[in-house]
Amino acid sequence: MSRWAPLAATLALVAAMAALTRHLVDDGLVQSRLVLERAGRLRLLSGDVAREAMTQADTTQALLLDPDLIVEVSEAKIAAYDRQKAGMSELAALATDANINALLEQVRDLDERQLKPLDEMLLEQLASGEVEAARATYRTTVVPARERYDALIARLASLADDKAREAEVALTAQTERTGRLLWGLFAGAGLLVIGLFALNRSRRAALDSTSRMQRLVEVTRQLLSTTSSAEVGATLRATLGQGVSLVDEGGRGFELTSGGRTLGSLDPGSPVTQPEELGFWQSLSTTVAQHLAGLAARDELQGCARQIADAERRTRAVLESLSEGLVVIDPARRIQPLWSRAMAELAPLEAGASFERWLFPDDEVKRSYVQSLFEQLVEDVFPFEVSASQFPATYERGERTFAFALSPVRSAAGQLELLIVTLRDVTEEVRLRKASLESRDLFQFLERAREQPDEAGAWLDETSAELAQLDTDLVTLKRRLHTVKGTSAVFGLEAFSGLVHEAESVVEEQGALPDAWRERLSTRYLAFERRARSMLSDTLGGRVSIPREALEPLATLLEQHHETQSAQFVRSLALTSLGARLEALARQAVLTAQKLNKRVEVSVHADDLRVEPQRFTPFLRTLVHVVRNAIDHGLERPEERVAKGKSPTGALRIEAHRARGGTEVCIGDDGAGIDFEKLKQRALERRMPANTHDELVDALFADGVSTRDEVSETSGRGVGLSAVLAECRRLGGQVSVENDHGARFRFWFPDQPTLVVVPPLAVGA
Amino acid sequence: MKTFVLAGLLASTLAFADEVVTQKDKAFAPGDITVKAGQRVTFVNDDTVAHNVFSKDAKFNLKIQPPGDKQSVSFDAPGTYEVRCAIHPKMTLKVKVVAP
Ligand SMILES: [Cu+2]
Repeated sequence: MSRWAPLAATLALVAAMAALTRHLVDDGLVQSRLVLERAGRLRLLSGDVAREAMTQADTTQALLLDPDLIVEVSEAKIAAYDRQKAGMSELAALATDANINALLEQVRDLDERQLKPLDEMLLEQLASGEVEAARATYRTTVVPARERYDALIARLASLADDKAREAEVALTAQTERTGRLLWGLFAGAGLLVIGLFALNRSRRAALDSTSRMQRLVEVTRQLLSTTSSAEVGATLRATLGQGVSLVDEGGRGFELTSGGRTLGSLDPGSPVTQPEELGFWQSLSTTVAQHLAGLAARDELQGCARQIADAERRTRAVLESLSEGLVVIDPARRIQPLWSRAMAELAPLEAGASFERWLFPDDEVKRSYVQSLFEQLVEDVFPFEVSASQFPATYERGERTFAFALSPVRSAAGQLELLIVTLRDVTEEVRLRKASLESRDLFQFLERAREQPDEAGAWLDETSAELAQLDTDLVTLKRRLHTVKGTSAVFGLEAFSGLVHEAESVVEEQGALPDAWRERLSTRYLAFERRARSMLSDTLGGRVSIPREALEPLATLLEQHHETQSAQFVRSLALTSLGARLEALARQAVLTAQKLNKRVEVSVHADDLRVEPQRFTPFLRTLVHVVRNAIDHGLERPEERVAKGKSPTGALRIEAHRARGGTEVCIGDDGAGIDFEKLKQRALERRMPANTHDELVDALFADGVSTRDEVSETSGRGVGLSAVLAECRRLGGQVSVENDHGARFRFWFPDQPTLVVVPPLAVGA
Repeated sequence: MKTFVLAGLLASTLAFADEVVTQKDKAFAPGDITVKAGQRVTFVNDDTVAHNVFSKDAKFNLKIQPPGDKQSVSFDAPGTYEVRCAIHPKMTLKVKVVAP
């Protein structure tokens, strides 16, 4: 039986390899690819969801600083809400893992039951003007809830990461195994098959159908168990087709021929007992069986090769579409021809080239550092995880940051054969994380600044100064860093304080602060300072404010340089528009009329005069008494007016213009006018002089003298008017009152230097 | 003079009544309306909290509407518009505008 052993072994080998290949190709690779795609999507989505949640939180934060921004942020906020919702549904559909599902449930619960209702409550508070309450809600409940949310999302992302990495490792290991199998098949069985083909070329044409081969295998088996030549002949006749024929030699027996050659013959009826006959049939069977095995192997191999090519193509497709950078290297750090497109896009890869050179083409120090880490890893003295954890967690290339990870591929004997390097782009995550922490810093700082604006401003200045002077002796350096760390924490800059703490550790370790760190600190701080200062000025109304008292020195300086127009313009900045003040007065007049059920049309004419606010404001404020008097006492009720033949709507004219080298403010109505007779009577009752017009005007403005009999809620007792006269006189002004289709009050003020300014040439005119 | 009066009458018969959408209990009611192009929709906040009704598609934003506030918007072009509230993201209203 020993001569059958190689055949059986070959058949078994071929069958086993075919089964293995089918298994790898059909199940393993496809499965791994699906898992990988799913995990990758899961991780992307968890990042997306976190980003959308953060956008919504940012809009709320912006509204806390300025509730009027709502119109600008509503669209962005709702768009982010919708995207977050869509992301969550997709996540739920993708998550088949129990851990991920449980985590997702927690995320959803926290978001829907706490964060969203809190956000609504806070915005409702803001909308109803309860800004302080909203800020308190934010600090005490929203911030802690958001921190819990961020932590959950981070865990979700890291779970998805683990899944993705597992799948990547499985995929790469399978690809590698498939490759080895391919090589093994061609190197081992392949040669055998080629040999067999050469031996049996003449019979190949007759025996290339699979079904016939299977039948022949059976025949061969039967031949091996048969002792009667008649039976053998019958079986062969029934089985063999063209090319191989069995000739009945008229009772002499059978002859097996192919292509005109006699392969063997057998006497009929005689039992196969002679050793030579048995030998003949055995050798015939061996030839046929070997042939069959060869063909079967060829078919299997062709199938395998096709499947392997498919698998390779699919693997390539996966590597093409993989968003991760992935490359396989050998223990000598030579790049293997297996990498993802994302990796090659980062920088071209060349099979066989040094990987550390690819990693750090221009930095020899880093290159040799990484080389030593790889050498330690390959020595396999420490557990792989321990050696791998020595590598930097992130790798930066260009503007982007990647998470760097290594996975081993080991042989069956446990020998480290290959290393899979993955680079996952975390630029966005890092940026978002940073932006979120920085905006939290900023928000907290602005909160403190609101309470202690002077201290906050001083701190900004001091910190700029401290950070600008880090190039100093070690003791001073440590003191400065310590100061900045402590004070920035006090002002709510937790993230920045943490960064300074890191810098302190570096100084502790290295005995100096590396330039890169110094730059990092100052860049971070300057960015913060710029945002903080611009936000602080935003809270003052988005304007650059110059103290009013600084304007006059500036104008003087301009005059000294003969910039008369500019000086005039600067002075006009210090002035207030008289027209705007009079329009405010007109609005009060309309409100007063409504209250008294009178109809009035108010007109304001004030050219473009400007006045010094400190001087004029007290006087302008008192004018409301004149207006009230005119409406309450002067204007008649609509029916009274109609009876007099006037329009039912009264008219009130408020005017300001230049007159007699000064400014005149006039308030006139078309009412009944002032009853000077009655005024004189009342003045005399109170023993006041009432003979001249001026004396009557004085009486009119005096406390307690009114031409009205009853006192109304709006005006009366003449109390307010005395204030008007006092303020007018304080400004060196003159008052006159006359009847001209109603009462007309005139207030005239002489010019003073810088008191009234005619606006300069219009810009662009 | 006669033609002027007639034109005035025509104009008044052509104008449609305003469609009213309320915002009670943090929800638009009805949640789905169909109006003719040019017709006005009045948003009434008869809720106990403020709302911020806006539409990206129809390009309007009613800002903060305190309880009791009422504002009208006219939908001029046929199409389908989504109206939302920035304070309560679950509030949605679909406005279908058809040619008059
Ligand atoms: Cu709402």
